[in-house]
Amino acid sequence: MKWKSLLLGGLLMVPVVLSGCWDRREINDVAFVLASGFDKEKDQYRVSVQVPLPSQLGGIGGSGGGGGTSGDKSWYVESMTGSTIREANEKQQRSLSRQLYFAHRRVLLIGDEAAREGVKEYLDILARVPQNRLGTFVLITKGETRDVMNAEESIEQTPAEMMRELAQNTMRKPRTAKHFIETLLSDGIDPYAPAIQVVKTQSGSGKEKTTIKVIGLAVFSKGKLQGILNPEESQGALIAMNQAVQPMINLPAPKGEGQLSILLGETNVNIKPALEGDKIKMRIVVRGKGSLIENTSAYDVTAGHNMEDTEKRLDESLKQSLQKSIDMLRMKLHADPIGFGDIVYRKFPNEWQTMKKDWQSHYEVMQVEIIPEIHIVHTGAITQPFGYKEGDLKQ
Amino acid sequence: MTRNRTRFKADTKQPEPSGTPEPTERPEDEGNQLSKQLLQNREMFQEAFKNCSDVVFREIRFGQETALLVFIDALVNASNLHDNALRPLLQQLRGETDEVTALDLEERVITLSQVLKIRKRQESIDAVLDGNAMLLLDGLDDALILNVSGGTRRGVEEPVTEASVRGPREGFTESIGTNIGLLRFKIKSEHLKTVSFSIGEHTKTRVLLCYMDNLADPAVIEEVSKRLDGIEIDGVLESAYIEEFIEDEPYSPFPQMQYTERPDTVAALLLEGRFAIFVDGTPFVLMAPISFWQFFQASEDYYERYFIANLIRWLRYAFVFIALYLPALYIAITTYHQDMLPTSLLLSVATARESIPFPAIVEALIMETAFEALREAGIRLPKTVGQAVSILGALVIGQAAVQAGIVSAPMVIIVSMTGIASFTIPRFNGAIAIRMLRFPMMVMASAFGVFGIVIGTLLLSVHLCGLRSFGVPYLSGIAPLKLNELKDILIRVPWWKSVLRPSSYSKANRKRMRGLKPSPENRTGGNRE
Amino acid sequence: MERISERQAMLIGAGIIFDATLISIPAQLLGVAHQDAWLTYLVAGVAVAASLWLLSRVGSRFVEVDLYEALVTRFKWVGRMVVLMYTFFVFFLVCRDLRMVSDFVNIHLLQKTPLVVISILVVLVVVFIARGGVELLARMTELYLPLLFFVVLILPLLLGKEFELRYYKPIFEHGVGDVLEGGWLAVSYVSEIALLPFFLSHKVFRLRTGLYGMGIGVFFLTLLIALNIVTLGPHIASRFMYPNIELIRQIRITDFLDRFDIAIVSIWLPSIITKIGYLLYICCHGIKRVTPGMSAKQITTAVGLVALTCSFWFFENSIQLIKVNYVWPVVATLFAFVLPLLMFFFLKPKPMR
Repeated sequence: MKWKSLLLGGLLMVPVVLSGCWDRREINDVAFVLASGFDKEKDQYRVSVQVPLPSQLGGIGGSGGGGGTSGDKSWYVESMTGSTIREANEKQQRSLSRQLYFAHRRVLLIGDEAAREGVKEYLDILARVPQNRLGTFVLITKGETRDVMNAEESIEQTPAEMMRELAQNTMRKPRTAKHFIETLLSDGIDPYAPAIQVVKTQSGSGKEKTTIKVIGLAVFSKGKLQGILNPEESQGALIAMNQAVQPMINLPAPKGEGQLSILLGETNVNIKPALEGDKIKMRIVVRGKGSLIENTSAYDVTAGHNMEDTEKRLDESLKQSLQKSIDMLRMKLHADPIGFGDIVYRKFPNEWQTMKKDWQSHYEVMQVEIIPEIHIVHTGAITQPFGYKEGDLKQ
Repeated sequence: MTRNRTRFKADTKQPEPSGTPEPTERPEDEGNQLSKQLLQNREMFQEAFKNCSDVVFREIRFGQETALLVFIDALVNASNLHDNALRPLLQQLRGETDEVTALDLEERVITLSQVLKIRKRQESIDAVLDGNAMLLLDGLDDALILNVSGGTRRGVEEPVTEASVRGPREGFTESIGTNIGLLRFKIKSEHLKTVSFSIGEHTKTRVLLCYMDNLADPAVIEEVSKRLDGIEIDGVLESAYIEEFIEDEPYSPFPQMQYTERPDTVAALLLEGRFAIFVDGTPFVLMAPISFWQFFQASEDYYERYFIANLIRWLRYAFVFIALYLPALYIAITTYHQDMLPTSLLLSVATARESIPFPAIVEALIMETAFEALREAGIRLPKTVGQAVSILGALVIGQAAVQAGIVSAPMVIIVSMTGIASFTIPRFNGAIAIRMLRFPMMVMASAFGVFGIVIGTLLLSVHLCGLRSFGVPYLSGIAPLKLNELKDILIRVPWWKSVLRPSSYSKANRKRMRGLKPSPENRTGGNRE
Repeated sequence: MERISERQAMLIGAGIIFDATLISIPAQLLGVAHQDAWLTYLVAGVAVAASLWLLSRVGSRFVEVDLYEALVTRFKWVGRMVVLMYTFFVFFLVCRDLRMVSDFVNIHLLQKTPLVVISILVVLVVVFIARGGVELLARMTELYLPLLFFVVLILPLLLGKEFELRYYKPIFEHGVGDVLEGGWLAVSYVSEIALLPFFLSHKVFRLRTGLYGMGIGVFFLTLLIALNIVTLGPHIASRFMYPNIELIRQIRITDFLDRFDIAIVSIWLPSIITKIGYLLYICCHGIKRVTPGMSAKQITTAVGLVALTCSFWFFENSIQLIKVNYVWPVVATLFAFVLPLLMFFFLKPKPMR
């Protein structure tokens, strides 16, 4: 009895195993897409993919491998247009002997031109095919995406890896496609993404090559790119989002010439909404610890009440920076990446229902009170500035 | 050299040097009995041992008696026979004129510790073949069987297959008498029972079933006795013969009995209420019932400090997993689920595989087969050559094949990891099962990826969950869950914490000790002699 | 005779609730109840506890036998009819879960492999498990379910970095109605534990066993859906076929260890396949009780193959599986509440004379 059933099971398995392997694809028959970029050309999508060339990556087995297409580069960018993204991918496939495989896509680039027309159509393929992962980073490029992908000088193996690292370093808790989509689907909060651009290296050796640079924060509203904040505005916005990675603030020295650079090692933002009648009031408390990392002036921070004085100036500077960023966001870009609306919604869900419709008007007029409470905890390894004699120090 | 003298004392039955198992006597029949005439007996035995040049017939005379001594030269201890039988017979009885009875001889003359009387022809032949000397007297239809067995056998040495850093160094030998003696040295209790069987039509191999009668489950002992009785075979040359006859599920890749050459392992398992089967002629003793988890427990676990023992035990579990799954996982990941690897690692693998002509499964099968062959060659070759060959072979083949671009470097790493992993399993028969099963796993992985591995694992677990070793579920401890046994499966608790014997094996009398944690208050001091 | 302990029965109960439910319905629950979805299982649990109480009261009148046998021996024809109804109910569950697992594997692991091949493999294992009887089922559960529970328990640690705690607020935004509706949907899955007394006698399956089993199952389901809410947010989670897979994909421990999903799926697959094993076993057990002289072991293979066919026949595509979720509570209510209630009133041992 036991034998019979085993035999039956065995026989059943034989054709299954023999004819199996439908999904089998050897690792050297796969082209791993590390980055893909979307642009718009009239009503067509231009899709670019970046694929590494394993034979060019070096390693023991690599020496005998097939030739690369682009000289000494270890990657390859393919670009095609199509009326859907998938169609463009299929077109690319026709000129690729290896199968495109998206599970290892590290970054998803959207050109700023395309993004201004709306990003909603690009997000479906991010999740529909299970190969794709929501852990991908969404980046906005100034200019066409394939230019960025073709940046010549990347410090990592591939530009894709470099872009991913850059994106990761811009924020404390890096925002992936998951967060991008979540904010797009939610009311009262708008998506944002780091913006990058291809620039010339400034090595000074005469031979200038292209490289990739983060230029700020791209801000969306209603699914469309509204604008790109410059680095200063981005810093203010990121601090307000509790996302800034050790922001540095330069203060003009209170006495004497020069600057003080202060690194905010820890910042913690607490946004508290308050309802006054049907008016919303926001109170942003920025707590943080900073340290003096450079002092080009003769100002002696250790003397007298200079520390407290510096802290006060720092608070003031921070307050202005934040105020500027927030005003820029709500007045000029009409976008709410910080999620003030979301905060209201979580705190006052009932009032939110009525406020939701004309949130934009509430957002623009609401009072924002910024209360920085930064504490400078140390001044580095030295106290008084190094380059000035005792008598030159400004107390 | 000589068999241990405690040999038969433990038996519950009458001592039976011939090892004839059954008390059921065949019907009395004339041809089966010895005659009173020495001459007749002599002819009969000479007929039986015709062309057996190693059987010695020695005729002796004392007084008016004629006697015949029959023994096999190589199996008896010559000096013992000489000092304790021949000399007293010839010297003491030189002047005797009275009739000498067998009883006289047995009680007064022969200075051997074991002397028996046998009347049956076949039994006496068996006794001679078993290494006894037989003394036939004219006018007596009893043969005196003198236990002078000896002969040359290997001495007690360190167990080769189960070496340990700490722990007893003695191992079993081919002599069952020595072996049971080694066990008796460890367990000095009258509860240690050794029931004797003689199995094999021609080899008449002595088989001893040992158990602690106050700890073992009587139902299990009954069952195993029944199974041993049922064996019909012409010869038993190794305990494996017995194992294959009495295991629960013959069509299983997994061994349902454990074997060992270490007396301490046998003693430990007996004290947990299991039984052991000693087979004459082999140093390997069988033990059951066992569970799957025992294959990952080495005797040294119990001798080293329990922290390190625990760490090592978990290392073994991890490596068992590797031994079974690593090649399959490599195939599944590189050909199905490339998304499981981190990108940088994936690119390294892709680079290494770029110029490899074979699909991953073929590559894996080639390498695994080559590895198995190397190992097999290493075992069979003389010890000194063997290791060199296997190391050189692996190095040369691995290195050269990688440089020639025939196999990829990651594959070589995988195969060697798997090989090392399969060596970390302390029980060789368990390791073989795991080694064997990784091949079907690889096939499943190449057909269905991780899903195939899961299906394979499930079929394996269905088998394991249904398997029993002498009535004890094979996965006992985890499934069915027995919390008290986890103390010896997931972790090895300190001795003073393992108060109870595992409930799967020992039904009654489960308490091992009071379980006092060592501390100044807990010194009872009752052990002083 | 079945020899399983109360602890095993409890685990089987937890498994029967947990294994299939975690992929089949969370997306719909999140769609209906949004950020309050974690409450829905609790609502369903309270309802099913009532059903379990009814069944255990009935069971206590027949201590030695399971409810199928009690039904058949007490009411010759009506009893058989009821048993047959339950058998069909369970058979449908077998088909549904079978299709669900096959679809899942097809979508997430083997996209190009024909669905039928995957189903055949699953059925093969399921038949092997179900043939082994209830002891084997219990052991398989003990082997794999604790492992799965352990993984779910450490998920909060693995995912901690991804938490957005604001997602779970505000509670009861849309009132209690949505939560109750979610609970209504969840009942169809949670109530599957009510099948246990039909193949386990009251000696093994007491009210306490059932409640503990259900408690464990509901706890882990709630934990998972809560993790979904705080990690993915209800918006994203409710749009996925299988939000829990997306959830474990979010695990990212350093850049290097960020691809755990398939490993965790392969810990879960044995559990769900064992769960289909229970259902097939209950189904065959029912047929055995109705037709004396037939051994459950013999018919298992046949029933398994019929279920394989029906799983393709009943459901044309994977969306239908989702649609079933909206109708199924009605059927589940019949089998988990109405029939037990009738049994409570009418199924009593013959009075002794």
